[in-house]
Amino acid sequence: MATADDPLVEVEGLKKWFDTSEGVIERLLGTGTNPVRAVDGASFSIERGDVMGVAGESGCGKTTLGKLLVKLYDPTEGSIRFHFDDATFDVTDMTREEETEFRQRVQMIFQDPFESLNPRMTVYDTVSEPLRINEMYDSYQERRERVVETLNDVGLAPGDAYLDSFPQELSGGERQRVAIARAMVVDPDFVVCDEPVSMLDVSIRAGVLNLMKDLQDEYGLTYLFISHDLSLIRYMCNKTAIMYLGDMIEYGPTGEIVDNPKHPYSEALFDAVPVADPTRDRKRANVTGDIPSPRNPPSGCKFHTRCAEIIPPEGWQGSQNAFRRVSTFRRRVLNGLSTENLDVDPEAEPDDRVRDRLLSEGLTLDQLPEEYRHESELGMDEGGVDISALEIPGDAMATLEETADHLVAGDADAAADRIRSEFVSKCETDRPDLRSASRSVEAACLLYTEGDRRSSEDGTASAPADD
Amino acid sequence: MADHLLEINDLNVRYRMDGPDVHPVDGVSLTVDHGETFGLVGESGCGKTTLAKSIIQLLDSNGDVESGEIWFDGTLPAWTDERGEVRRDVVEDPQYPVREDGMTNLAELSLEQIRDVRWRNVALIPQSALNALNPVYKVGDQIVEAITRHEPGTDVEEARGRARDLLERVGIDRERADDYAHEFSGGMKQRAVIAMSMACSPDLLIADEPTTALDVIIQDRVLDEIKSLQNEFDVAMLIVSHDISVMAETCDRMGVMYGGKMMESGTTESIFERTANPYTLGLRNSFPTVEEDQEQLVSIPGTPPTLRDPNPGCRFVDRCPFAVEECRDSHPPMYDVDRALGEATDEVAHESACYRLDDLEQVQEDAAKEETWLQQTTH
Repeated sequence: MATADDPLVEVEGLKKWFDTSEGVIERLLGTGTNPVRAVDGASFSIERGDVMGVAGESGCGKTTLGKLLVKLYDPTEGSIRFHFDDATFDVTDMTREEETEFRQRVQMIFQDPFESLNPRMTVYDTVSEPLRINEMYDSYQERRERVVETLNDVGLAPGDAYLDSFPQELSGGERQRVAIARAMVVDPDFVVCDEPVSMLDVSIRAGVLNLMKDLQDEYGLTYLFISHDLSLIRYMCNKTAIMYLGDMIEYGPTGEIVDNPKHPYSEALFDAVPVADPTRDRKRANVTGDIPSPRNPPSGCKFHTRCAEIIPPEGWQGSQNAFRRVSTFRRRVLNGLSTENLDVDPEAEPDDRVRDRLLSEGLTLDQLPEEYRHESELGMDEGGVDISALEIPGDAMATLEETADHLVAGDADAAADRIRSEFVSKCETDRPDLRSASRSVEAACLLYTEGDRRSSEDGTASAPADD
Repeated sequence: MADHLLEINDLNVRYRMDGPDVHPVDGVSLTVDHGETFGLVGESGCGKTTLAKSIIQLLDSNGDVESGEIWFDGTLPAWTDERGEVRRDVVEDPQYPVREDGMTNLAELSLEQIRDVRWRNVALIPQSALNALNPVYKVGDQIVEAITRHEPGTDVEEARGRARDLLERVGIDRERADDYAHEFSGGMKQRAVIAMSMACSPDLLIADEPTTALDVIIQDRVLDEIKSLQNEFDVAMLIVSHDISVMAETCDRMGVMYGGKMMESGTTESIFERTANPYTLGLRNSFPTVEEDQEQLVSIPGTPPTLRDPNPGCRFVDRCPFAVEECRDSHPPMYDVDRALGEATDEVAHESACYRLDDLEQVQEDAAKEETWLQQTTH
């Protein structure tokens, strides 16, 4: 990925864990800490002039990543290096003087212009404050000129007329332009924009986005553009990174990632975006379950618990869908599945029936959109899936039944022991790093190994191996 | 059964303020049929939420329906008398504002009467559904309360069973009924609120920005859930949202509001296929799509109007590049779009409040060009 020219930003093994100190209870119990892994080992670089989009669901760590880059947070581990034309900064190791200069070269624009502006400060006070703090321009007159010039640049023209306004006198769009002016007034090189238009009305939004594009040319900026809205990312960014539970799971040119996402999570994310066309029947996101807690993320690939394409161990004879279910059942057993919550009464029913019911519910994929459900799931009134209709090979079925028998007998440990070493996917044990998934896209997914690609070079993705 | 489930005629809502009154809904008419999904789309402050809330008299204390009617069919009237028996004679009772075809004017019901309508006939999923659950009661008990309060006489055990069924129906384990709201994820809370709104099987479900605070995958599931619930229970829906792509996917018909006025309404397909109002055209221009590379998004110049003291002309006139002299004098009435295009049908399928409908094709063509919208000063 490195080119002959140094990239503007180089990030290596960046981690930010919150809540790492040991509390009294943890110390007494000796359980150790369970920090939130907001950013859990990201390595990437941003080229000069890029608009790098960071997308993902809430809690995926995208805002933390942005704040780390502008040193609003200090990383727990890892390094961030900025190579400006005339100076290099190691963000984790700066002197006071360097930090002052760094803070002038990188800026951040926040999400909510109703919150990020001080209601007691006039537009002039707000926009000129960074100039005073950074001791730029010597006289009031020069500062004022610079402020007016910047206000004009952000479309608040004539700038003079806005100087004495207070935030509450301005509309949402105008406020966000003031916030942008405040970032631009020091002539930065790198700007992190955290959901910059999500609080604005639709008809105003496009104007602010276009302004940010214009400013990029005018000021020679590099942006990190954080948004949950994939359509905005598509419009604004030439590169896109997708994050999941603190990991960057895909990174590459925006057009390619949107048209042909490589990581199964990215694919689901893009499938879930509604389309403004009433005649289209959109494919829905093939994802099961909810996002796990970032305090206790799954092992291996963090997405393996929800993934449609979880890789079966060698020798698996059944279908992909069947393995996805078996792997889900196994996880449920290891997490303490029992007969307690079943619809049937374990006391009143014969053991066979309780066992079948346990398997039927345990093999069900939660919260899957209708189009991906097994046909037997749709027909069953009491929920669960018809186990005989799933393509589970006989020996695997025997293992499942033995495990379920242990559970029916009330022996959770025996059940867990029976299934623990069976049906182990490498997605659960190996943690994938970003690797080449096509000529220009990198994905952190074990479906890809260097040189071995799931999809052909002409860009047609293989259909998900689901039924 | 009457023609429509809901028929709003020339509704005016007023908020009393320190200064002049504000009219967030100004002469709006719309109809929702049985089992239909109707979408109200518009930007913040256009009056869409106020309109939705006024249907079951949930306006803030300084707001009231100034004029207009809100006719509702549903299973009304089914009031009970002192002995708890259902009265069927209310049509003749002058106390109730009921029309010959059996529809009731919700706007004229007393507070006590409208309380019977809420939940049982019309349920609301509020805008901040994630905060709609009480943190100190179990989720299941909150649904039970909704059932027993609005269907007096229901056995608590039966209500409990129904609450669990409902949760299961929206994909939440029955046992989770004994959990508290903070033990639910955002998507689960949203689904629990949807389950709660279905508790008394209403005829009309009002959903105010049902997916706005949700992540895209969860939004996808909730929309899927709403759709299948609707198919199953044959409930009509009024969805309020600012997101035109959500509308495109979920609604049979929709209305576009701006500055308290209905600007365009009709079948979703017709509105997207032959958008017939400059405001809707502008709104679509400013919406990015994930599907294709867009050269340039075009924003509508200016800012939305304040609802205080609106000008006498079209609400959109100050921001509209197609405005002519006529537009400054009075707000245009709704015109039949098909007739303007020379394709008149018996039923009006698409209306637009615009004086320029006669040269609609020219307007559509110009609206697609960026320079059309740049003429005015940008804000």
